[in-house]
Amino acid sequence: MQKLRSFLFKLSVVLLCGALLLLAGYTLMLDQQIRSRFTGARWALPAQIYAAPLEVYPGMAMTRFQFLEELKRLGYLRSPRAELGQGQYYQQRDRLELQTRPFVFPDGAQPSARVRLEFSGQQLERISQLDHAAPLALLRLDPLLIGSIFPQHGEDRVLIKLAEVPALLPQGLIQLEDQRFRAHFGLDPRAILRAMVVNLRAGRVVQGGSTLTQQLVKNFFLNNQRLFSRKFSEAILSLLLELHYSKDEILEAYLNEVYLGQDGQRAIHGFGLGSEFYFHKPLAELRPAELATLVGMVKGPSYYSPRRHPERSRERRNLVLQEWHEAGLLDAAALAQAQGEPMPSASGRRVARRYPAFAEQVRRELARDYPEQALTEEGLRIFTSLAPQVQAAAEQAVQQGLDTVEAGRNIAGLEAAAVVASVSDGSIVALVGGRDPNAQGFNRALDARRPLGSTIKPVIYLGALLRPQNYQLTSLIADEPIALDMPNGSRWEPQNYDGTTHGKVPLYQALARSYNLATVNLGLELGLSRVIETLHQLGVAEAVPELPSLLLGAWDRSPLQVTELYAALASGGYAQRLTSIRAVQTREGELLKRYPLELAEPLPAGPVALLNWALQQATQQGTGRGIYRDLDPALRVAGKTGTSDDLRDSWFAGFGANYLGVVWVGHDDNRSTQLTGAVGALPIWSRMMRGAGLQGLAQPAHVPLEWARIDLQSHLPAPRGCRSVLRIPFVAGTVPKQNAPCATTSGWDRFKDLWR
Amino acid sequence: MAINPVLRSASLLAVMLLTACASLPGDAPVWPYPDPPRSDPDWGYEPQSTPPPERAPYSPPSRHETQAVEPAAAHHPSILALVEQAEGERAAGDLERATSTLERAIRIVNNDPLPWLKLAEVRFEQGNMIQAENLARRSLSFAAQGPTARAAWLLIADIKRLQGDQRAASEAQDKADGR
Repeated sequence: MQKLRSFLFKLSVVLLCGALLLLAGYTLMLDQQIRSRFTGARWALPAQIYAAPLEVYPGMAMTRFQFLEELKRLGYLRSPRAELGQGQYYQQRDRLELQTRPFVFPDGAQPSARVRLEFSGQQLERISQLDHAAPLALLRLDPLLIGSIFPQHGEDRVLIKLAEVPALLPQGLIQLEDQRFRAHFGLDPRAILRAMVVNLRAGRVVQGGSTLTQQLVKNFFLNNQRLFSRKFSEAILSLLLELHYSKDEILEAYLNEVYLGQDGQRAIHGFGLGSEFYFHKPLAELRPAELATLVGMVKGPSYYSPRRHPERSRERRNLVLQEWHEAGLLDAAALAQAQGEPMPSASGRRVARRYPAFAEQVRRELARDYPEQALTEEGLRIFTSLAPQVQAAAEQAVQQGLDTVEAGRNIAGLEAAAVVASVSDGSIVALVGGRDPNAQGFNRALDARRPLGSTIKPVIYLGALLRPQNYQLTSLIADEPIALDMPNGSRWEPQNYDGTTHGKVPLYQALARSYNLATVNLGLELGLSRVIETLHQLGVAEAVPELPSLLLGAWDRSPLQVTELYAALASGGYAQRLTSIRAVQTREGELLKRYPLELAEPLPAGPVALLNWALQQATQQGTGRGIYRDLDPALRVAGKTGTSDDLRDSWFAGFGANYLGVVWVGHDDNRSTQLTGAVGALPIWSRMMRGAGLQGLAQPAHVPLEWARIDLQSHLPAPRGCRSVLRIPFVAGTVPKQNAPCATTSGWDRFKDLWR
Repeated sequence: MAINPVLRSASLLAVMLLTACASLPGDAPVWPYPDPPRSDPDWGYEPQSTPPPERAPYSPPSRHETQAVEPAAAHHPSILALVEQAEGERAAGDLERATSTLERAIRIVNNDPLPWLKLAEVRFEQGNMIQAENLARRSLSFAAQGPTARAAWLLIADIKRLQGDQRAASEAQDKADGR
């Protein structure tokens, strides 16, 4: 008996020791995990993508409404009084006062500025500093945050520091969720007891006794709940957190970690992103009502979502505000004002825009230089060339254009893509991947490779003009039938769009009116290899199929690739790889990499200038005339329509001095659209470019051109006389010697001829 | 009247360069090129800096502009401010920041040759002759005559001389001299 008792005692001691050892080991394991989670990669921070900042200057063509539109996009608030805070403006008719937000640009930190802008009609007239009344030559606003690169089913957040958040947020959070946060050791036995009593009385769980620390632990391991679901490990983890980290560190982690809702595949984590997502402005600018909305959501992010349940969210917010008031955090006046404020979604504010099509291009460019993990975890700050106002114009033009053409012709299911690039630096300023700009799916601007039809023709004509001794704009080309036996035994007999032929036509007219037969004859005369060589000179790197059908655009290109082809023309001969990224910063705002402007060796300026003149004739008298239904007729614009076989694809590509744009319209399944380029893509292009603020082309300055009066009957020079003449440019020294029959000569010329 | 800032920084640069040359041993190359053409007497010279642009009264750029204008005569104040800032950054040796600032200017007004030329000069200073020439030529596509065009041709002449292409150099020099 004695023996047995002693054996049992020993056994229980051994078992207890074993259990303690196990517990210690388990604790150590948890300790390891919580510390690596907390400190290691504290937060996998997705890369943040910024649009180009708006730069405004006196004399700029910008109306007050356009500027206000931009302020709205940036989430600036209209202040009723002239006292301004950061991110606020005050408006008085044509005069606007505002205080900008400070921002760390790739070229340095820019402090907040208080400025006055004065508009008059179509123009921004004056900018001055509010405090010294000194004029300003240039004002740069903070850039719009347009998205982030997070992994699939990923978490997204905007990192914040405790020192930078409005004081009401931590105070209010503690007041609401864990009043003894500053005093407890990770667990709050009193709160647990109280919760137990309340729950027992109610007969169900109505109150939780979780401290902020416990909630943080829960949020940390949200994804592997099975492993850590037991209250036990949660408690141990909380104690461990309190052991290792200060209250402020835990609070800051909480503010960055807490789950605040879902946006499709994206999990909204932390108050920083919550503020951007629900209120479109930085956390520092949130007012008590907005803070209360977010803090109120902690209890049930989807249940109290201001987007999905505005009324429920408002009740919750007002309850939170009331509690803050009772705790002395808000005075009565502030309470009354905050409780009276409308909810964000109820007041019709637009949902956060994320520009998925453009972001996809950014991601692909970044993938050349950074591994996927760096993009989704290191919180890089990516500065891009997106111009939100141009993007908005492009999206609107695509939607309206497709609606109009479908309604007018009784077709359905059309799709479109559009790209706008800056002529000066070859950067992409807008990119539309489809009819629904918010769709994440198929990005037609990048991935829809379609035959480019007549949009290829400028390349063939440039190939000819690059030999100025052989080809001028007035050279006559045969627009006559042609038939070719193909290597595969078939016979290729191209035709003009209208089925007729036009005989001998001057080169510029053949291009402007997009004659197929003249183009094929010219291309074959030049040789396919020269056409392909010209394509390479324009920046095409890959191999091109050496087939005669190439001359009519039987070559699949994406809208972005077509834009790249035209970029070399728009810039006057500088082939350019279009890019969307300008610089990359670390999450701390240090410059990591710049993507500088680089120019390829230019094509000869003369031939490019001649081609661009002919492309202007295409919009003046040729297939592109329709653009002037939307554009100011005084603007000189170069442009070309394109239509592929059986009217499957409708293209328009064109440019002015500042922007270059390409639009494609077609069906995803490659059915015929029954639309030519002039009917489908052109109206979208012209509306898009009008909205973008297209500037007209100027004559290129330093190009050795010679202008001659050309008789439209004989296409020969007519220094004097002849009824209808057109001034046409030539590369210097290549004006034909023979004059038009109708040309009259002056007495002096006849006198000179005597001495020849 | 205040001294033109561009002129000021240009003369500052010239002075800095002269002192630098004076303190160097006679045959040490000043520019960081791999194979200095020692026979070239122009080796080591600072490229002719841009003469100060005239400040003609500014007229706002019209969206309906169709004629070739000579913008060198009228730089927008915002462009002048950025060019001035870039000159300061360049003088302080921060060429990357100067590049950034000039690219900003290029994006704001798309037909002003001055920031293009200044960017070409920065690239030259960095020893990037290819970019310097392409940028100088791009600047020429916006201005046929005037001080900016002249400076661009002089820069191209310098580049060609460094590359040992005397014929192209003298052609560019002729253009600069208006011949």
